[in-house]
Amino acid sequence: MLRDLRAWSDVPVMVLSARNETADKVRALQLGADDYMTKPFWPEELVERVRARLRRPVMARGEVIEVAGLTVDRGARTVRVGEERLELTRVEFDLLCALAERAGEAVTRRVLVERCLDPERDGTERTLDVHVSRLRKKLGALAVVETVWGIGYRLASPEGP
Amino acid sequence: MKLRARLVLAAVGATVPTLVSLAWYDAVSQHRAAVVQLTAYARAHRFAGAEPHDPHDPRDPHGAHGGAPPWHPHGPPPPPGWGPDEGHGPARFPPPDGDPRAPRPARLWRYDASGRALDAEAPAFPSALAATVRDPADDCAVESSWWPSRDVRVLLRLPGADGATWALAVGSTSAAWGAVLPSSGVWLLPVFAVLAAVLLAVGPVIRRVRALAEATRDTSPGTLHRPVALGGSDEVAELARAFDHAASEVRAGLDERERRERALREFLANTTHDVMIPLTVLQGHLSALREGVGDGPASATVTAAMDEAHYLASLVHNLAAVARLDAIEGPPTRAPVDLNALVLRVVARHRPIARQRGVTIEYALPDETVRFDADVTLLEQAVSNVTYNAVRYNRDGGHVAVVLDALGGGRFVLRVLDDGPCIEPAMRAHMFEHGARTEDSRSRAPEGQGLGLHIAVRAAKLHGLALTLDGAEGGGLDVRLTNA
Repeated sequence: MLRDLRAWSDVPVMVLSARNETADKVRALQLGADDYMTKPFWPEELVERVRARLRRPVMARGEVIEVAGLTVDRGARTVRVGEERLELTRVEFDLLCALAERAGEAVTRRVLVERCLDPERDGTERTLDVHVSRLRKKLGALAVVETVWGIGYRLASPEGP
Repeated sequence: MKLRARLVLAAVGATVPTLVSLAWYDAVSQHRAAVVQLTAYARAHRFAGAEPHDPHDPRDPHGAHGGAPPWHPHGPPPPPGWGPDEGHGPARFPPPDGDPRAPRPARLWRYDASGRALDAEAPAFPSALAATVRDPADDCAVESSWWPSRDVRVLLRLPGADGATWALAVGSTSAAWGAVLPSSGVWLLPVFAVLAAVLLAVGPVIRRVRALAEATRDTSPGTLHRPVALGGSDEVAELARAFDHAASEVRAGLDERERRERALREFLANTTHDVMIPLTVLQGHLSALREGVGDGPASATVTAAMDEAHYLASLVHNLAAVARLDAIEGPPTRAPVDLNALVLRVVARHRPIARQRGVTIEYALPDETVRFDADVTLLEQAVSNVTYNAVRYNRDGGHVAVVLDALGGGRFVLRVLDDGPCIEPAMRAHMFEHGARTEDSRSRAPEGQGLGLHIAVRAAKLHGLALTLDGAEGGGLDVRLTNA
């Protein structure tokens, strides 16, 4: 059935099955299914999985990222909230960029430190926290930078999980 | 030691000492007989010629010169072989070239009391031998050695008017007296013939045994599918047949076991399948029910029911995983697994339950997709178990984080952190070894961590991944799964 469908449609297909064998999963994907869910599952689980499948990746490749009420111009290295321009340090801008590129997803401290902090100048996770706290202050009412326990930070996005 | 070498050693070990002792006995016997003859001869000669010979006698200045002594007509005849006209060689001095084994003629030399020879050609006086003739009743001594030689020397003490004089008789053994073995040596032939026959006979036997070993090696090892091919009707062939019979029994046993394993796997797959469908329906109803009761007094009950349903699903999947792990012989079916997607699936699966318990569950993925060759079902079950444990043993307001880190070059670390109850390092090690549960958890979650962790450990090992349990910073566990 899947094969016939795939002959004329590219619609996302998720297979729901009680069979939990690897062979079945591999085969389903080979035949053209996009995802495979084994029973039993909770209804919320199904919803979450479908949403994840339909959501377009937020890793914006263009110069400008518009997310969570912010406009981040990577080329010009400017951030606007609406029309207002925010004054950010280099590190703070890099941080915001990194989070915006993965808006809605948590990013680990390690990755943020590697990307945004200068290793020669005190590049520890504690310094990172300090920078984030400053960034938050600057964002003020726009409390979009969330702390994620055990991981790091996330830029809250309405399309997020 | 090899058979042939052992046999040669045994044969040689048996024959050589026998031959040697036979030869020795023969020599002893001959020597003894010759001694007897020589002594008798010397004594007879002494009695026959009563007076000591005068060395200055011009007629016969050398006494017993020239091989045979002058036979006194009243004396006893010389023993055969020592007489002047015997066929074994002329009794003249020096012994001519002839049969070297022929007995040499006897010689007698006289010595005076002080050991001086009366004959210029006499050999040196054997004083050592003389010393042994102490006893007055004793009057002769025989020179002996451990291996009796062909030469025989007998020393006689002759009482005389001026004191004792000595006579030394020198002769040799003769095959005619006291020989045990035939002189020609032909008796050695049957001995060697038998030896050769024995050694030759063992050759074919060893070849047969070697053929059996080859044939046995040829049957495919491990599966014993091909029969042992060895013809013939001797005992070795019987052995081959017996071996074949045993092999076929083992084959039957293996086949039976394979059948049972297949049957078990089918049973498990069917059961899992049959249980999961109604369980999904149940979960659906419970979820709807949960929404229906809102935050009312029944909500706790519904939450508890959802917990149990979730646990039930996890348990059945774990049992199937254990059966799979037990049945796997050799490497598991490996296909590239998208670990990013795996993390998403696992988190999504446990999020509803986490939400019920007031536990926040989050995940973090690297920028790139991490792929790893694995059995997706086993690996996902392992990660799911660890995550579920982290959720289950946590409290309201707690956190669980599932983090996938790409280290480059296909290496990754998958961590599951939680801030649940603190677990002592000793307990952690114990948990790891036996999949035990902490004392604390017993009251809160009667189901053990055991099976889930046990499966995670086994699945990790099967895929060549390292699974470690450490303490997390804020209490709780930090479980790492890595291929680095």
